[in-house]
Amino acid sequence: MREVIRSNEVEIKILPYQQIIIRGNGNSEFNNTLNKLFKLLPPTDNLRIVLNEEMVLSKLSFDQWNLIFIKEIKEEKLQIFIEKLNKISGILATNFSDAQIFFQIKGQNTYPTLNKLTHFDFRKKSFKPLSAAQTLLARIDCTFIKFDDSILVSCNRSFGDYLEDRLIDAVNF
Amino acid sequence: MKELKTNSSPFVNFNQKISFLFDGKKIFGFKGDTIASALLRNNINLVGRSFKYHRPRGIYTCGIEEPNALVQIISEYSEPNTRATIKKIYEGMEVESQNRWPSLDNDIGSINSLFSPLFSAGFYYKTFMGPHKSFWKRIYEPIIRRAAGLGKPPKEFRALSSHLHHNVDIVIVGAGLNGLLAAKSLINNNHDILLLDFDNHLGGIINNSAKISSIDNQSPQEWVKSTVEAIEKSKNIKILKNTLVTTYNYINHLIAVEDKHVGSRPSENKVNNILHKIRTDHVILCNGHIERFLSFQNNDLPGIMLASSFEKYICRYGTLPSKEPVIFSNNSNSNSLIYSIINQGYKPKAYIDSRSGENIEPELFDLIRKHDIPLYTNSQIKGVSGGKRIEKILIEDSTGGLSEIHSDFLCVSGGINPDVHLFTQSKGLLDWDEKDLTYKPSKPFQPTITLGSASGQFNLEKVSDEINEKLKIFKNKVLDTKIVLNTKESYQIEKLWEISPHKSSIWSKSFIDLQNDVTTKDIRQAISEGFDRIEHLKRYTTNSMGTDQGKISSINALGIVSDLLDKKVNEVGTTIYRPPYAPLSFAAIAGRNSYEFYDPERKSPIHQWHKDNGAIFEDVGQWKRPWYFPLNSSESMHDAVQRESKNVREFAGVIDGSTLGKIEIKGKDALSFMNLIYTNSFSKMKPGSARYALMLGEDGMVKDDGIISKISEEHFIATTTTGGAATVLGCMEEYAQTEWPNLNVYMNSITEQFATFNISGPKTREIMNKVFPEIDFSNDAFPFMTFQFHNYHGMQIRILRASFTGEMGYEIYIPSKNAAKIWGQLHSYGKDFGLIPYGTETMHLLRAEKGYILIGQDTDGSITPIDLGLNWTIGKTKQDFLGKRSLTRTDTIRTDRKQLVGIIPSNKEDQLTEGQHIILNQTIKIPIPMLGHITSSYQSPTLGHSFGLAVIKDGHSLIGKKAFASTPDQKTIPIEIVKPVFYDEENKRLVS
Amino acid sequence: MLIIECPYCGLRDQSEFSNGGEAHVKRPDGSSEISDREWSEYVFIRSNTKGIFYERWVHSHGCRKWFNCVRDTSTDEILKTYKIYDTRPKLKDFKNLVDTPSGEPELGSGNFTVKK
Repeated sequence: MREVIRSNEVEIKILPYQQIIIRGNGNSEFNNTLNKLFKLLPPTDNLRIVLNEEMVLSKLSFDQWNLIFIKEIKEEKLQIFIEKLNKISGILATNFSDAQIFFQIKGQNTYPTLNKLTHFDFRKKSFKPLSAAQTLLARIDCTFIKFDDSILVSCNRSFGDYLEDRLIDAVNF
Repeated sequence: MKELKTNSSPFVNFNQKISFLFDGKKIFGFKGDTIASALLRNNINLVGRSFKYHRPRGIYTCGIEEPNALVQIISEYSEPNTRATIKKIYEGMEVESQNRWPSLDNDIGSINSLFSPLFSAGFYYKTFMGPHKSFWKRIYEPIIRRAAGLGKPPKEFRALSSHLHHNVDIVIVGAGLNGLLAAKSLINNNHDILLLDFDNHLGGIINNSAKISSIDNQSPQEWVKSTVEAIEKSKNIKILKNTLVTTYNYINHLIAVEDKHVGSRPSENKVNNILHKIRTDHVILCNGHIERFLSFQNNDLPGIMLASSFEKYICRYGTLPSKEPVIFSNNSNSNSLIYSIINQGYKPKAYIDSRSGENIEPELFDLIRKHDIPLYTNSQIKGVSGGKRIEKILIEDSTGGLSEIHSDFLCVSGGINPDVHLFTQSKGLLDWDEKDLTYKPSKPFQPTITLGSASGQFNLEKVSDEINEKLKIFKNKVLDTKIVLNTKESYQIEKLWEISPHKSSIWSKSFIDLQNDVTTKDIRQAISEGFDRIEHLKRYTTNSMGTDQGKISSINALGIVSDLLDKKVNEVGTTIYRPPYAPLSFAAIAGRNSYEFYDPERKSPIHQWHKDNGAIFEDVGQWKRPWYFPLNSSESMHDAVQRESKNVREFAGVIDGSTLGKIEIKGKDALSFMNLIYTNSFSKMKPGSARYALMLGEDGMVKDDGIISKISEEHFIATTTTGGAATVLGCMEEYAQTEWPNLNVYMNSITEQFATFNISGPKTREIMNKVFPEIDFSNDAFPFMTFQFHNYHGMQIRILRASFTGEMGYEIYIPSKNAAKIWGQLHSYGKDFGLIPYGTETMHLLRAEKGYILIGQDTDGSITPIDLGLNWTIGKTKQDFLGKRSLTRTDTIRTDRKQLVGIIPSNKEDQLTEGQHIILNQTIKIPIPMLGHITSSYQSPTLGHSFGLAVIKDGHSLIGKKAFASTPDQKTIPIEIVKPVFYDEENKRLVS
Repeated sequence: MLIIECPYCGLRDQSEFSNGGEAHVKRPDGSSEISDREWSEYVFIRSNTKGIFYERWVHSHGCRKWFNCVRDTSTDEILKTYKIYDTRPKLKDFKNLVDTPSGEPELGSGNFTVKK
């Protein structure tokens, strides 16, 4: 697996982000717990994200939040986070660090390239920066997080090689 | 090559000569020529043989509507049925004509013409019925069917195509006069717009005829150039040339194919076609009109061409197919053709118009008189004759008198139709216009706007008014475009569909569909046989069912039918034009989802290790799983599996079970939820223990199985089969969300987070002690069906004592990123104890020896837990679980249901095969009652003979009885029905 | 391909969704007190409505959430989508938008006058 791919005004980077999936009902106990642990107030609107320098927290549906650590943290610390979250019976926190692959894609041709592989509408009016979406990319379930100058694409680890090959193919053809 | 003194065209480069092969013969054309325009330059008009009768056929049109000139492009993966009228030539291109043997000039198949009375309407239904059913296989299929047809399918091809999705606000289809004007009025508007045209030169009618003299005081070509430049500069409009919209789906979803190698050989490492999939809010159809032909005797002979196409060859390609053609028309659209020919310094040999003199435009009269062109008004062509080209034309004048003209070229115009294909694909409705004698778009079904001749508005001087009116909703710029015409005309037509021949015989033919060889006689016959509904008639005669969908002829058929039935055309109705508008190649449809990308592939975290160690892979769903690990290239699969199986039973083996589904379930009501989802009861289970469990559908049939680990009353981990992972998670989510939303429970898939290694065999405990020295693996500390969490080098792992082989074993769950490390350690410590890796085939063999079922192999969606003898999995005291009530349905409590049993051959040398039927009789006499079939069968190295699992009627009570397995050659193998467990029935090896 | 509005993710292409059959079919309690007939009605029998139909969809390649949908089966027009717990919209709130329920004329299939 290559770390960085640059071609035709597209740059693809594979990133080793850690991730926790947090399930819950979004009530005040839930919000307080997350806020206390991560110093981030979970977004209340679907598909919105909040972020600081260490992590990105996105709300993917009414009972699911994804917490991505954009700065690496120690495995033990991650385990402690998960244990603390799981102490509350209305919350299920699952370590997803080994379950997904992250591709950071940027450059002028990012969206035309991705549109070779997905029907998804990336236009600003349909998909605003700092929001998330779950959809199909090259027929694989993926999650997109859109930033101002890049997009973060994640998919299940087992599809990693296939998606990487498809992305390289889409960039070059 | 014909040298034409006035040939000029901005679209053809006359300085660049190009040669290509047509039926092996070298032909010259120019850069920018189509195959057809180059052939016409060389005075070649015979280009193919017809579908049924093998009649000689020529180039009939100059565009995508072409019914005849279909060729095979040998130099492009042998692409068949390519329209010679739009395919551009390039140096070294190889083209072959179709449906002829041995050659185009001498075609043996033309003998079919002699049998033509046989091939009349409905001949498919009539001819191929009798006299005996063997005729289909021996005569019709090999001989008659081969004689009919178009090109040959390519044997081997790999065209590179890709897909591209678009999301826009407006799509404008067609960049002719109307499309360009519409786009111009929307320049820098705040809508995202795609402007599509299938030509590489935008302008449409402006390029194709001499109708327009000037636009906004500019020459038409200058106007096109400046307009296109302005559109290209606009931020909101993207132009796609060489892009044909083939499909207009529901919710404004369009499919278009872009040809990326127009006029050049397809590249082997660049994309040759792009399939555009476009989603838009609005569609503006400016795709123009199509001229139709007329039916008269021998109207298919080479040398006959549509009038507007002839003009297009002059204006677009700078070639004159004939210097003095005869023109036959019933409408004003062909006026500009006469103007164009005269412009070239020639004149038509005669002009025949079915309209009476007072209906013909005075300007046309003046032109004809001025140039002294023989004029026949109120006259018709009764028929033409000739061999491989027309020679004579028979004219009936207004008085009924007949005269004959010698000519080798005839231009025909039967009127024009809006190109309504895309509009009707979008489910828009049409209405008949009695004045213009054509169907026009009436009521759109989607947000579709039609402009110009595509909307039935044939007056070129009124185009900007129409655009201003119809595009108001987009707040477009108001246009005031001044268009001056060369031939003053407002479209005028007189009804004429078919001219009956002067003398008719059973061999005389007036065609109504050139591509499918349907004659007007076929239509009469179909109606007389009762097929008078238009949809029936279409299918019975195959009229307009060719790849051209009758673009130049389907309306004529409606006219003829309406006259025959004495009904209005509107009462006859139309058939629906279906996508695609024109054939598109499978390569374009497949795009990159082919070959290596055909299906997404899933790989285990230690896939590379398997590859490095010579694993042969098996596809399990999308997963690549090691099937077996041959020792070397000479070890067969059978030998490898026998060796692996024996090794596990004697020492130890480990299989990569990472593909198994894993689901984490947690919440206050997790226990109640699990009790509802699975047959088993988990209430009395101690935390830290695990249980084999079944999941049923509501119909009571087994859907999946797995091991449920209970962490606490509120926290579980379930495993599923590899193939059932998505279904089981989906089922849990469905019930949690829809049926029991009151239950507080969440579930996450952890399949990808953890790798799973299943190690088993008598030496397992010793190996585990070495790899995990800090863990106590003794039977008391770690009994069967319990699990423990451990910290291993800073990461949390889980070890479950369970087995799918019948030997004592453990399942190790490790975070994926570090899985390779532990896998490596298992092997380095296990080597001394005889540990080997094994694949799925050995796993299947071992589990079958133990009598463990495999979901989807021993079950097929019609098997209950009771049928499997797994009654013990059912929590009897539970109020409810999925499918519980179905287990007492009348159908599920039958005693003669197919039930799982074991079978062994009475004669130990006999081999059983999966799928063999179980019967009670030794000799087979068809029909024979069947008890059931073998679901799993293997050669057991441990037992020393073949054995199997089978589902057979009333199987449980047949245990101990003898029966037979049938073989494909109708022999039988004597078998014994036994309990479905062949190894360690007491589970001693499992629990010790 | 339809465009379907997921109540949680917004308008998306049909390829992201799976259909779950008729909506508002209540699962009877699995206890054995109900008759074979009642149970089989639930397991095997669904209505096959031409026209306005209440059905379930799941955003299977998106948020994985189930929701309900009102679709005109004769035109494929999606009239409303709503969350699984929302009350069922009344039938009278909707009307067929094309002239004939099937959108297909009696004669031929493409022209307008025949359809009337």
